[in-house]
Amino acid sequence: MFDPLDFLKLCKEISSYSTIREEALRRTQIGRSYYASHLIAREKVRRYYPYLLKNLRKRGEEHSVVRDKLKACGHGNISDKLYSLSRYRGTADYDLTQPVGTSSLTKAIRLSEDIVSLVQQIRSL
Amino acid sequence: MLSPHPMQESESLKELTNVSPLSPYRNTFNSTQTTNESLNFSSDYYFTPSFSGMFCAPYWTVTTSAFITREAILLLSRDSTLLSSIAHVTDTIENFLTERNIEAFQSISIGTDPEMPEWNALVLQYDLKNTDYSTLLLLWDDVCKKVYEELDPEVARKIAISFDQAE
Repeated sequence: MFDPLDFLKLCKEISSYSTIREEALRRTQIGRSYYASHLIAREKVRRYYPYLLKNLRKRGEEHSVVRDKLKACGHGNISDKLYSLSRYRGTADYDLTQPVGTSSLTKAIRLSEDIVSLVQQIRSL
Repeated sequence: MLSPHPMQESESLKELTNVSPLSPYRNTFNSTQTTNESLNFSSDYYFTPSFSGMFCAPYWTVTTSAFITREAILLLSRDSTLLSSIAHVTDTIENFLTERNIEAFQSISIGTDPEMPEWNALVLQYDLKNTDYSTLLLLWDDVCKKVYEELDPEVARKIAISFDQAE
């Protein structure tokens, strides 16, 4: 089974990658850093609520379902941090008008690491 | 201690209030119905920004130092449960930051989810001055715990607290 943490590890590894397409690289890194933390959180939620993520109306619904469940279970901080990271990812993936600089990338990776750490500390939901 | 967000207020604030973006402002809206169409925006110059809405049944007045987008005000005007809680939430966060001598730019807007177009939340954004990111992440945890432990879960689901560093 693929480990979503590899997305985050790869994000950091390729920071030193040399390319003339630097912004494309940063946008890719932000997207993967979001998915690393989202998937780690999703799998934690799935472990305790296996039926919650089945029969969703749309595939994309799982993002809000995971956040809502975490918040309902007393982890509002993780939920809100995930949402903030998803906004970085939304800009990186969809907004071509707003430049994505190194500051956004640095924050996104730090936020992703923090979310992963918080999720890993959850003992029950 | 808290002030409207300097980056976001200019265009929307002008549109909303017709006042200088650098001026302290007060937003008010009054409605005898909960429909969009009946909302009437007006503005004044005051040191304490506030907005108020009159609805079919209750009358709420909320005062906050945050910059608030038009869309956020409209959302609040349609959701009296959220409106009745939001002042307490922003007060809690403001007090939390003030106790720690942290200055922040504050804004309230609607956040959406590109994966789920019908999902939205009231985003309470705080851009903290002179705070390193590690400290900010810990403060974020603490403030969420403080806010959500006393908030109705249904209301909590409709808001998102976001901390970032002020540029």
